Amino acid sequence: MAKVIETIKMKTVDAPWFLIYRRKSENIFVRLLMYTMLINIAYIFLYPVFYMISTSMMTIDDFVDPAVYWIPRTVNWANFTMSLEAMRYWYSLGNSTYIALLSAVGQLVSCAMAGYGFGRIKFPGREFLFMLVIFTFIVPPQTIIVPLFILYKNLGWIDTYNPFVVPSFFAHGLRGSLFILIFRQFFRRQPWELEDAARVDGCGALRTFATIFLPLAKPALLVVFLFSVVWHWNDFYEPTMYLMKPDKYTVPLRLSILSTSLQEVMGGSNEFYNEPLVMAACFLVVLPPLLLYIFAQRHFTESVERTGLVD
Amino acid sequence: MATQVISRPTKRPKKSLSARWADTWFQMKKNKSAYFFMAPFTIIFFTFTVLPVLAGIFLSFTYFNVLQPPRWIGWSNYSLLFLEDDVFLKAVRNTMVYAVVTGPVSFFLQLFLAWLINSLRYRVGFTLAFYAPSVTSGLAMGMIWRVFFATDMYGYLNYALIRLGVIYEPIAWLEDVDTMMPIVIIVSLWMSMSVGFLTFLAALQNMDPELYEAGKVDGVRTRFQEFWYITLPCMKPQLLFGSIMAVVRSFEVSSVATALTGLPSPMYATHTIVSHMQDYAFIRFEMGYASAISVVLFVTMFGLSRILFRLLRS
Repeated sequence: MAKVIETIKMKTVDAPWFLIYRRKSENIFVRLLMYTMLINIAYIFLYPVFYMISTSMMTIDDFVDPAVYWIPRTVNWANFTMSLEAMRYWYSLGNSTYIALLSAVGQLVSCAMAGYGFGRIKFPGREFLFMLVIFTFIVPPQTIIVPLFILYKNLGWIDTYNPFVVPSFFAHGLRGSLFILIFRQFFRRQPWELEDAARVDGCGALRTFATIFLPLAKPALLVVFLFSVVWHWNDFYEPTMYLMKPDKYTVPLRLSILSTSLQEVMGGSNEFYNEPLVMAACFLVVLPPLLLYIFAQRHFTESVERTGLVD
Repeated sequence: MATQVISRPTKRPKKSLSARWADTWFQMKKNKSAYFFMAPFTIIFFTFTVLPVLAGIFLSFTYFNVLQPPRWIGWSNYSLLFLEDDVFLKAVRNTMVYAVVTGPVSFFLQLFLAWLINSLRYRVGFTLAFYAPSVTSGLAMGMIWRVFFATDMYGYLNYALIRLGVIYEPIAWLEDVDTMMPIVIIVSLWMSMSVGFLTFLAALQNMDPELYEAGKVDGVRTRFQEFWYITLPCMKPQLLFGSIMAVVRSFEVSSVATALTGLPSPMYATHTIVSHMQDYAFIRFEMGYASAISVVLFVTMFGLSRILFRLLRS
C-alpha cells in the first residue's frame, strides 16, 4: 500500500482545471458533458429495440412512407395477432418456459452444491476437478456437438427436452461452469467460523450446506436463476440441433420458421410476410426475458453488487 | 481485497510414498462429503464431455456420413484440412480477427462504461439500457439488424444515407465482402455488455471509499489518476474474469455471423472455425471431417484453458 501511495505522490502533476477531481461538487460542465455522452451511448444501445417496437405497430404503407418517422399513423395490431397465430405463440411459450424454468432450477441446486464443494472443502483432487470446470467454461459447446448429437440420438433424446434439462441437474447445461464459479466465489467469501459453529451444533456437511449456506446465498441464487432463465430462453443453437418436430419448438425456433408457418396459416399466400410483421414477431420473442429483467432489475443489480460475481 | 490470511506451508519433511498415500487417503476420508457435492458434476462430465471428446477424436480419423458406418481413413481428414482446405484457413483468420478485435474492444468498452456510470445517480437506469441488448434473443435482434442493414432502398441505413446525400445508390451491406465483417463485429459488440460489465460494476460499487480518501490525502488530483492508481489495482480479479469472458464470448461471434449473413456466408467473408464445422457436419453431413475441425478447435481451447487455469487458481 505504501508503495502505491508513493507512486501516486511521484506521479502527481498540476492538472488542468477541467480534470481536477472533485467528488461532491463536481463541475456542472463536466457533468453535463458526461450525461450527454452517456445518453447518446444509451440511445445507440436501445435504438434497435425502439426501432423494433415502433415498426412492429406499422402497416406496410406506413413502413414504406418516408413521412412516417417513429410514430405510426394507425396502430396496426394485426401484425401481432397474425404473428401470434403463425408462431403458435402460447403453445411454444409453454415449451420455452418449461425448458427455461426446469433447467434453471436444476442448475441452481446442482451448481450451488458444486460451488460449495469447491469453495469450502479442501479435499484431494479439488485442483484437478476445478481444472475440469474451467475447461468446460472455455470450450465452446460447438466443439463436441457432433458426437454429442450421435450420443443423444442413441439415447433417444432427440425431440425431447432431456438434452437441456438432464445436464442442468448435474451442474452442466448452458454455462453451468460459470454458475459453479459464481457460487464458488460467493461461498469462499463467507466467514470461516460458520462451519465451526455448525460442527459444534452437530451438523453434518449436508445439513450445514442446506440450513446455513443456502439461505445465505440468496443473492447469488437470484443472479444465477435470472442468468439461467434468460440464457435458456434465448438459446437457439442447441434447440436447433436437438429439436426437429415443430411441436417441440421453442419460441426462438418458431421465429426462424416464421415465413413458412405464416404461409401455412394464410393458406399458401405470402402477401402478409413483411418487415413490420417480422418486427412484431421479434418483439414477442424478446418480450418475456425483457419483462423479467425489468421487473427483477432492482433485486438483480443489488444482488450482483452484493455477490460481486467474482472476487 | 479480501483480507484472508493464507498460511503458506513451510517446508514439509519428506515422506515416503506409502505415507503420502496414507495421508491422501486420510484426507479423502475426512472430507468425504466433498465428493458427494462433486458427484453430479463429475458423473455427467465423464458421460457428456469426456465420452463425446473421445468419440470425436475417433470420428476424426474416419469417413462418416451418418447413413453408413464410419470407415477408417487415417490422417487424411487432417491433411486435407491443413494442406488443401483454403476455406478453413480463411475461417482461422476470421476467428483470429474476431478474437483479437471483439475480445479486447468489448473488454475496454465494458470497463469504460461501468466506470462512467458508477458514480452517477441514475446508474440503475443506464445499467438497464446497456445490459438490455444482451438480454434479448440473438436471433430476433439479428432479424432487426437485417432490416436495418437491408439491401434495398427501405433498409434503414441505406435510406438515411441516401437522404443525407452521402451515397447515391443503396449498398448491399450484408452481401458486400468488405462491409460484412465490420458489421458482424459491431453487432456483437453491441450485444457484449453482459456478465463482464455487471462484474466490473459490482467491483466498482464495492470499492472501499476510504481508499479514495487516502489517495486524495496523498495527492490524487484527477479522476484518471484515481482510476489508474487505486481502482484498477483493486479490481485485478474482476479484470481477469472479464478478460476471460471476453475471449470466451468472442468465440460465440459465429452465431451472430450466421444470424446476419447466413451459414455459408457470401464468399465465406464471415466464416469462422465453428461455422466451418457446422457447415460440414449439418449441411454436407461429413461428420468425420467436421470432427477433425472440432478436434483442432478443441486442442486450441485446451491449451488456452491451461493458461487461464494458472491465472485463476491464485
